[in-house]
Amino acid sequence: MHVLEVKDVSKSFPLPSQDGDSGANRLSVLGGVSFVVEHGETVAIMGPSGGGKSTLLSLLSGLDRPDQGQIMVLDQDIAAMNSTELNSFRARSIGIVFQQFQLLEHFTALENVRLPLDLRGVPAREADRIAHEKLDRVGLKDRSHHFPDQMSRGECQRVAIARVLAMGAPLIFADEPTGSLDAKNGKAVMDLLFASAKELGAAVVLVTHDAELAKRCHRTLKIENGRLS
Amino acid sequence: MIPPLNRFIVTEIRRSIRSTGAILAVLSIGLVGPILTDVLRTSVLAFLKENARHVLTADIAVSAFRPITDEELEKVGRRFKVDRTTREVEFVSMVAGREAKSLLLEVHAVDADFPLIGQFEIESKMQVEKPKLSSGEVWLSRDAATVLGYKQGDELKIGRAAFRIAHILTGMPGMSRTAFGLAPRAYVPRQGIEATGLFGFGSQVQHRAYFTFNGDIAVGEAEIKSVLPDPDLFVRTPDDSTQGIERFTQSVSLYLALVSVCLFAMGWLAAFYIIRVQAIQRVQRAAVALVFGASDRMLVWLELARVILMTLLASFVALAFVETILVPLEPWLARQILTQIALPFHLRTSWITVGLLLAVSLASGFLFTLPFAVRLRSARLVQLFSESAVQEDHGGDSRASDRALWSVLGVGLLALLFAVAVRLTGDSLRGLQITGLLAVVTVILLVVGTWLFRGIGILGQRFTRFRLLGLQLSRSRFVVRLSFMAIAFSTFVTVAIGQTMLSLGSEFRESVRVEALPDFFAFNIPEAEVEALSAWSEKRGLKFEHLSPMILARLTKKNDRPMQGDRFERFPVRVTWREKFLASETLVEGEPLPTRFNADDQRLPYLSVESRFAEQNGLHLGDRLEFDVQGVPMVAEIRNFRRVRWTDFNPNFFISFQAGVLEDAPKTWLANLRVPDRTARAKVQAELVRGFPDLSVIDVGQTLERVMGVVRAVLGPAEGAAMVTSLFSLLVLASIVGHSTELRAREMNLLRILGAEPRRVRSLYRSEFIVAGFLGALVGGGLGVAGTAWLLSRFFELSPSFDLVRLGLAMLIPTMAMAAIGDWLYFRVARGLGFVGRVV
Ligand SMILES: Nc1ncnc2c1ncn2[C@@H]1O[C@H](COP(=O)(O)OP(=O)(O)OP(=O)(O)O)[C@@H](O)[C@H]1O
Ligand SMILES: [Mg+2]
Repeated sequence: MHVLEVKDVSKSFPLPSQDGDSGANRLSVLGGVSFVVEHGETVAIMGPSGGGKSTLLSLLSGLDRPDQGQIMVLDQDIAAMNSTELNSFRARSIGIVFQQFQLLEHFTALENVRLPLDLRGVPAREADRIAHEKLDRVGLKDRSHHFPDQMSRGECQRVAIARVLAMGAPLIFADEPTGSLDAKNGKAVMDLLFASAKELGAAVVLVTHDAELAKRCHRTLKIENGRLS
Repeated sequence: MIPPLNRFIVTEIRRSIRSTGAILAVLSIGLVGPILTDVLRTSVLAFLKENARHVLTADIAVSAFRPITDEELEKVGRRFKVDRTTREVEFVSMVAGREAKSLLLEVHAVDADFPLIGQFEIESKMQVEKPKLSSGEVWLSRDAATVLGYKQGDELKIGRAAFRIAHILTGMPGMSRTAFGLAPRAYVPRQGIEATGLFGFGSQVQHRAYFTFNGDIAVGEAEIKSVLPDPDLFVRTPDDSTQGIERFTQSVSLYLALVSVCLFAMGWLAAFYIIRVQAIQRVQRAAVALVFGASDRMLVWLELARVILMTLLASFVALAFVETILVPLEPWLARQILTQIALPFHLRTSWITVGLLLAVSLASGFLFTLPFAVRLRSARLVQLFSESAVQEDHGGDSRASDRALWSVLGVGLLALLFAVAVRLTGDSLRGLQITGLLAVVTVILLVVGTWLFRGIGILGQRFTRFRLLGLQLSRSRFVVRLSFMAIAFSTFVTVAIGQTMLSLGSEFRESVRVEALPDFFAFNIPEAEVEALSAWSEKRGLKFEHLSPMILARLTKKNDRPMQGDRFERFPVRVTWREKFLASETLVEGEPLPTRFNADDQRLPYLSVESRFAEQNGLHLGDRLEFDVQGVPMVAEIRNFRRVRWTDFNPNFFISFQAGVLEDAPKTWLANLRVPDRTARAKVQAELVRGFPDLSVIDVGQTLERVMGVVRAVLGPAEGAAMVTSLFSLLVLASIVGHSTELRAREMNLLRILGAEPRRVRSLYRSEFIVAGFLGALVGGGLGVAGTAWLLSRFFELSPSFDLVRLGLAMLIPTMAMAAIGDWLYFRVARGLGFVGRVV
């Protein structure tokens, strides 16, 4: 069983035409993309700007739906799920790390890490225990009661990683996770991500423009004009 | 300003047309209250000032409870050049009408040249300068004619004399001096008025002389006072004559000022919030402009210009709206005033109002621009490009510049509110009180709110289900906190006003039913008729109760120092003696009076003083009061204070002596009459009036009805104003919540990406607002209940009777409205924003 199997996925966006009717013209962003990711595997996706990397990631994580094709996560087609099923499936199986961290500003580090557990209805104590453990894992034990604006950007990204770890998802997506960090911080964050993914046996699919980073992955996929090359 | 910049501003406003619309709406609605209050108040006061002579019907009047002699008038005439003079005698009398109807009438016996200033209006719509009253004729006001069932040509008996009704009056000169028009008026010729037989000693007859002259009224007043030093003669100026209605206007405008300052503050805060949200987004755009060569200063100026343009526009809209309201309001108000003063009334918007409005707009503009200016200055450009500039507030804004900003804004808003309140009350102390009250209530709500929400957060941590909700609330954002405050505030106002009105209403209604209440209250009973009246009552099977003497005395000194205050100079106080308290009286402080005064005791006679009267005049136990009882000096000592339930309509007095002191003084009597057989009331009253034409009788039930009518008339609009406040606070909330979508969008997307179902997010949002609204309603309702209880015990000496259903509704409705607002926020965020683009 693959952790992720992408079969012939296409995506296009409507193009607003000059005279106002947005009927026929569509911009094709992805055309027939297929690949497979195994358990515990790390895959880098690279390619020129506008090539469709972010679009692909949003389809894979179920944030958007493909025009056609199948996206099998743990042998289930997320493209065919309704939104309720998709929500609960994503809450257990898919973790996402964003370039802009996406922490809630009015929650502390601990509360941010705990958020997916609270949403899932994990008992309060259990949730606290897991969150503390994951914060400890990313080296932010003593920052648990700090708010995002009291932490550095690198620390914020580590909190975001702790959050993904707390979810315990077998599949982690990351869209330019080091994009807003300097080289040193970026490396530390990626070390952490790779190491903890390995501990959990989670697969990581990451979009990056950084060749050095791509080299650390098992595999690199190049995407250009909506096609894998 | 150079044209391209103008275009820039217009483009900016157009681009944010919805926010701009919301700002204009909340600001201008908030301004309507203050403008309207100001126009009403200044117009009425100006009207009174201009027409004070009409109200007095002369330049100066002299009045006394004894006839004013020709000699005294001549003295005045000799001292300075009086233009014209006329005389009037006024007294009240019961008169009988058709079919056992009867009425207390205010009779004015006047000379042919009355009034010196002003005119009569008779039913045939004619205006008549002077009443060419022939002897034996009466002009009867329409109110009286209606009640009595008389029309032109009928005969009316006043006392022992009969008059033919020559005209029915629809308008009278001057102003009704009787409160609420309890006794309608009639005019008869002064010549031969003695024939009524109503001038027995002690009956309360007022004699007046009116003057017009050329020259300064203040000088005239001083001169007349020096010519007529007799303390029995009271000199009244036009300004004196409008004092009562002026005070009424001031207290109405005090209430209106309080409400409209609140509305203004709410609107202002809402506008500020929206402008601040805009500013946060705008700073990002401004940063781009900075990079391409614009200067800080220019950008701030542009923002200032844009904001001031909006505040000016809002002022203009508000002003235009008020002017529109005035169109129907003016004739209505003119009609109300016409019932008191027969003169045309106009509402005028003064230039001062407009000027102040401009000043408020400019000042608000500056304050509104501050967040933008501060943010722009403290913004680091690098950050602006790499980070989302839309930042959420969570309670602990830690940055020092933010704290300074908030304090500047707080002080600025308070200063604005103070300025508005001072203008609306015409009194800097009152302005300070209103501003202070608002500030204190706000601080209380802030503190209570903080603790409540923090408590909920801590509590929520224990329960897995409520964890998120607790967190959201305890980090309560501006919007949630504001919701709490707005709901608390508006519930407070609705509950306080509504429950006060209900309590007052039910108090009066219950009083009417209570057995303690008499059917009639009789006064001006001449000494000689007491026995006959008592015998008559017994024969009729009536209860003749609480017979009390009434003596007119002048309060001259307190502890050997002359009494301060116009009131004591001008008017005698009514005193009585009694051996023990009535059921409507309770001792609050001091010792009960020994039953009788004994001259051998070698001490002063004792007094019992009504507690409110004592408080108002700074009287203490043991004070020695000196009276002038119809020329005889009399000193007595305050022995106790008592509380009086005035609504019992018993013969109650502010000051009551021991028995054995005043028995020899000239006096009249008061008593209650009860008719056990209710159906016989009208008949009894009619017989009473025929049999005892000299005494005056008030129908207590009917009087209570009128008082209730007045209470309703005053409290109805008051409750309306409270409703407007509540509605407006919900509108303000909705507009603010509507502008917090940007801040919520990221949160909502993230929650959903982390696996929350839409239903879950929706219920989270709804619960957040429900809890905030419910807590607000609870706190506001609690404060309202406490406020009502305080108000009632302080001013009416009543214990409140709460209507639980209304109370419940006053708290339930805002809570439900908040649920709706929470849902609305959810749908706006969910619909308005793409799911993916925001986060990835
Ligand atoms: N919602 C949308 N509507 C229309 N076009 C879109 C939409 N989202 C993306 N596109 C277009 O699809 C193409 C691919 O965009 P995408 O964001 O996936 O590129 P990317 O590979 O992530 O580029 P970058 O490396 O710059 O982030 C672009 O041309 C973009 O303009
Ligand atoms: Mg991208």
